[in-house]
Amino acid sequence: METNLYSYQFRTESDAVPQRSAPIKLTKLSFPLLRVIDLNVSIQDKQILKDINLQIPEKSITCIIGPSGCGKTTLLRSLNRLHDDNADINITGSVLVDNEDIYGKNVEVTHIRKKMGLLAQRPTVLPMSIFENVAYGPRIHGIRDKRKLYGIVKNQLEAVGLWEEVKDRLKSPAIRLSIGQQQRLCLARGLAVSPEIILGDEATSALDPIATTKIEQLFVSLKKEYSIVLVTHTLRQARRIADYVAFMYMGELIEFGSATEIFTNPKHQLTRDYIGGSFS
Amino acid sequence: MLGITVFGLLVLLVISVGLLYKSMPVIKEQSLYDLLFTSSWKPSKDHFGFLTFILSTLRVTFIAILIAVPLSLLSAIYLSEYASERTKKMLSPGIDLLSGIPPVIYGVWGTLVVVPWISDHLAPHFVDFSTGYSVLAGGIVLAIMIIPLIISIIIEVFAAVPQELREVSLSVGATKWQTIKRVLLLKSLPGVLAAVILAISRAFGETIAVLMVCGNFTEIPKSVFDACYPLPALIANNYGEMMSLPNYESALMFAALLLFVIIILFNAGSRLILNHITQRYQL
Repeated sequence: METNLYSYQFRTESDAVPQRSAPIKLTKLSFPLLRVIDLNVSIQDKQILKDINLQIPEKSITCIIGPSGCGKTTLLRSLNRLHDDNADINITGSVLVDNEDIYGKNVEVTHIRKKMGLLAQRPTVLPMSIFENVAYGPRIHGIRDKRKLYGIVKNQLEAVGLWEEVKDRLKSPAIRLSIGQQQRLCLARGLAVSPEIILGDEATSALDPIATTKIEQLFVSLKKEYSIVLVTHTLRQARRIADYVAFMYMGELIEFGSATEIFTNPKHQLTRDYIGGSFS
Repeated sequence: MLGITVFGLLVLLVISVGLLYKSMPVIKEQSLYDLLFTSSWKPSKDHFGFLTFILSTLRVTFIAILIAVPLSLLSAIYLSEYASERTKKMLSPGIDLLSGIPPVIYGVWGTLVVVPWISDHLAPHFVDFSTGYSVLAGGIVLAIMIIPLIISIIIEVFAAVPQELREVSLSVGATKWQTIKRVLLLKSLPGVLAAVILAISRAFGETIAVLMVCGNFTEIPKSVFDACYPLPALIANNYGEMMSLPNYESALMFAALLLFVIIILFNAGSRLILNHITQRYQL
């Protein structure tokens, strides 16, 4: 393992050519929105994540890749404190969002979660109408005004390209949508509480290729406004849309860098093997 | 397997036909309207009006459900969503145990604790006099008996709600309580209703514990502090002596038939409502 892994800092696209010892220029991207510091997660005394240090740059797509069971999903869920309810899970270290440690004392979890829209592996629509699914978050946060809610729902459904398809049946149960539409609806629901970050946990793995393409295009267009972190199992997807890539193996963050860097010239042997398809 | 199932259903058919056959004499003697909607109960004069018993059954059950449902729902929410694994392990056997206690013990407890409490402490605030043997006593004892049943079913129902659904709600910044109120309860509405239906069916038929605390007085209760006389208690109390009077046996069989029909109608009706809700909201 290389010793400088944990102190890795960001490079812009122009720095893509690896210069190991060259001093790293500070750019806008060096001030990340989300920082993971010394994160250790263990489930029933089995360590799942080991000393993860990671900085997620804003307004770009970061893909977390790695073989099954390497801790990608655990890491993603730690960012949202979704492990809170599981008493078996022990977490140390910190995750800073907007310079606030979400694992700090007295931190109120709901406003942390509001900052992050989560897109699960399989689309999970709430047992309500299409409209109510998107309006759910805003309602939770106290918006009662019907016209305001309608405005939010319309905007978000437009943002995910679903408005034209569903505008005539907003009141019908969301479960009747196709699975691809459901996933876009879930994305709209996440966006409706105006988060800063979108977390996706293999968000396209249950979708057909056409629906996958739509979601991927959405991510690319959404990165203008949001920071996107995706766990993905398909390298091709990471190649298609990632700006930055984090490679994980056996609970450790092996390498992090811009997508070009990781895919064309990975520094670590493990990364090279994984990218090259030696294991998956 | 099919044979066994069909046999079970046949038994149901045989029971209903048998009850109908046995209660024919009293139905022929008096009109059905007379039997169902009058309340004078004079076996010696060969007149049987069942209104008192029907109303008593409905009222005791209603009070039991009124008490039991909120309590069980909150307990189930606590046990399934809030309690730690240790607490769950400690409390769950207790609930199972409660549902295993013989009804007669609940009846004794009702007589020794609930009845005196109503007559000495509660009733004086509302009415001039009450013996304590009352609709309310029956309702309370019945509630205590069906609570464990409702809790254990609702816990199962909650466990069947996918964790992802809760996470969806949490991840937009909802609190746990908001998630429970708006997602968990909505999603488990059909299951919760099914639990309540089962509990009501059970409550309709509960005999001995209710019989011991409700006074068994053949007059329509005017308040919850008055004595009442539910259908199962009527049958159980009088079954031994029924031969002495003409048509008495037939009348008691009619009471059994009534109970049978009420429960079947109730189950069928609630099944329909349940289906409607499930369809309507695609739960």
